[in-house]
Parts: sequence; structure tokens; C-alpha cells
Amino acid sequence: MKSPGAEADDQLVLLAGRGDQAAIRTLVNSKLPRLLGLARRMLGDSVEAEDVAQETFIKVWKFARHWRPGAASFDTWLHKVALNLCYDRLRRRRRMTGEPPPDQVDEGPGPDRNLHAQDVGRRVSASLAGLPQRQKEAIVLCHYQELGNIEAAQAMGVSIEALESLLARARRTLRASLADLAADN
Amino acid sequence: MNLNRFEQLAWAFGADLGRWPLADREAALHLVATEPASAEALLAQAARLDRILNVTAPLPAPSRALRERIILAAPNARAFSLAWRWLAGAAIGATMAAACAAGLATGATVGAPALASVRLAVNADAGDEALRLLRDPPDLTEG
Repeated sequence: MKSPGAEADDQLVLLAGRGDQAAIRTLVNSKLPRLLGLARRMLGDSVEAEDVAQETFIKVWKFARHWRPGAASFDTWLHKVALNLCYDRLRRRRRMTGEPPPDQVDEGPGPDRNLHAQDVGRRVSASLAGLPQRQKEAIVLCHYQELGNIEAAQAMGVSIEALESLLARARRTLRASLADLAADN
Repeated sequence: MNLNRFEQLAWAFGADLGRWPLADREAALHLVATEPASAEALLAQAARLDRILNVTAPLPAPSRALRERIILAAPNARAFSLAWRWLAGAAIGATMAAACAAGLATGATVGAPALASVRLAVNADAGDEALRLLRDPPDLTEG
């Protein structure tokens, strides 16, 4: 059974498909910030993230009229579309640079460095960017996008068990790379 | 749920039980109540990482320009209504064409013998006239 929020999304999508301007604005206002956040965390580039957000909405507008409220929520579908667009860009980037995906986490600063919140933020972002792609997705979807485990697994196209394993590995890696910060907290 | 499973879940989903899988929450709460020291220590460890992860570089809000670009690309109510009117018109046209085709087919089937009689009658009339003209040619010299 869908949550009231998911049912409201279904209604908005159908109205948007018929050109209802209020529904279109409501959808953009409610979904765009999270979508942009997802793309920025996945790609680490604000211009590309904007492109992904825009392309995702173009797909929304294209399919809105044919949206069939089924088992999957609109939010999960939206995340899946955005993730796929991010994969495409990451693949293209890899082809262009010929580089393998980054697997090494950020080493972090020396112990005597005094970090401000902004520096901590940058360290965390760098550590996230250094995670293997699937681990990063799992953390971004569950921790930052606050999707439930079932929705996140659906968006990633993996089993719930696989998602849990990816999350646990990601968090262990992050804890190791940010150990000096964890000690202060 | 045993403590080992509780630890696995804390590693994966962090300290906020609200983010844990729905199916595990009740058992997790029960474990916190029955083994508070061990369970809370594991949650505290997970919470330290949660707090750090929440200090990522702030994400700027979507720009007005991006918002407007997206809204401009959205379906237009007028275009939608025109499309529907066009479709409705096309449907009516198709129905009428089908009705005409059906009428012609019916007419061809039912009216074929009648048409044939008319054709015979016309041909008979033409033949009679030709014969009459051959028998009694008109006097073309009369002025």
C-alpha cells in the first residue's frame, strides 16, 4: 500500500501530464531540490547535475500523461531515472578520460590541521566521491535522499540484502577515512 | 533479533531506527529495551558517523533559471486541450468515414440488382432508339 505522500504524487503527475500549471509548479518545487542534490552527490559537478535534473524532468513531462500508479512510487521512479542519467554521464566521462572509477578514499588532512565545518564538509564530500560507485549510490539514496531500504533497492535494481551489504561497506570505508573526525564527535 | 544482527543493521542504516527496514524496527526496539547498554553503545558509534555525514558541503538551492527552464518544458494545458480536440475531431471523422463506407457497401450489395435493371433499361432504351433511327432515319435536309 502506498503512503498518502506517494498517492498525492500520483495525482500531481497525472494533472501535470494534462498541463495543469499548479501541479507542474508543485512537482518542480517539491522534487527538484532533492533531485539536484542526488545528481550533485553522484556527479560532483553542479553544471552536470543541473543538466541531469532538467533531463529527468523532461522524461517526467513526457511520461506524465501515461503514468500508471502501480506498485512503485513516483519518487522511486524519479530517483531511478536520475540515477540512470548519472550513470550515462559517468560512463561517458570514463570513456573520455580512460580512467577506471575511483575506488580510493580520500586520505584526509594531517592530524594537526584545524578543521572548520566547511572543511569537514569538503572532506566528507571528497570521501563520498572516493567510494566505489554502487556504495556511493547506496549511501546517497539511503542517508541523504532518505529513501527506505525497499525504495532504494528498487531504484538501484538490487536486492534488499545487496543494498544492506553495500551500505555497510560504504559506512565502514567512510568511518575509516574520516576516523580523525569521528574521534572529535 | 540478536545483538549481532542489531550491529549489522546499525552499520548499514545508522543510528536512527526510523531509517531501519520497517520489518526490523520492532525487534530492534525490543533489543534496546532488553539489552540497553550494548545496543546503545552500538547506536552511539553509528551516530558519530551519521553526524559527520550530515556535515557535507551545503548544496545550493536550485536556481530560478533552472526552475523556469524545467517549467517551460512542461506540457501545456492549451496544447493538451488542442490535442484532445484534434483527436476527438479525428475520431468523429473516422467514424463518419466508416459509416459512409458501410453505407456504400450495403448499397452495393442491396442495390446491385436494382442498378443492373436500371442499366438494362437504359441500354434497352438506347438500343430501341438506335433501331428506330435505323428504321426511320430523320430527314436532315429539312430546314
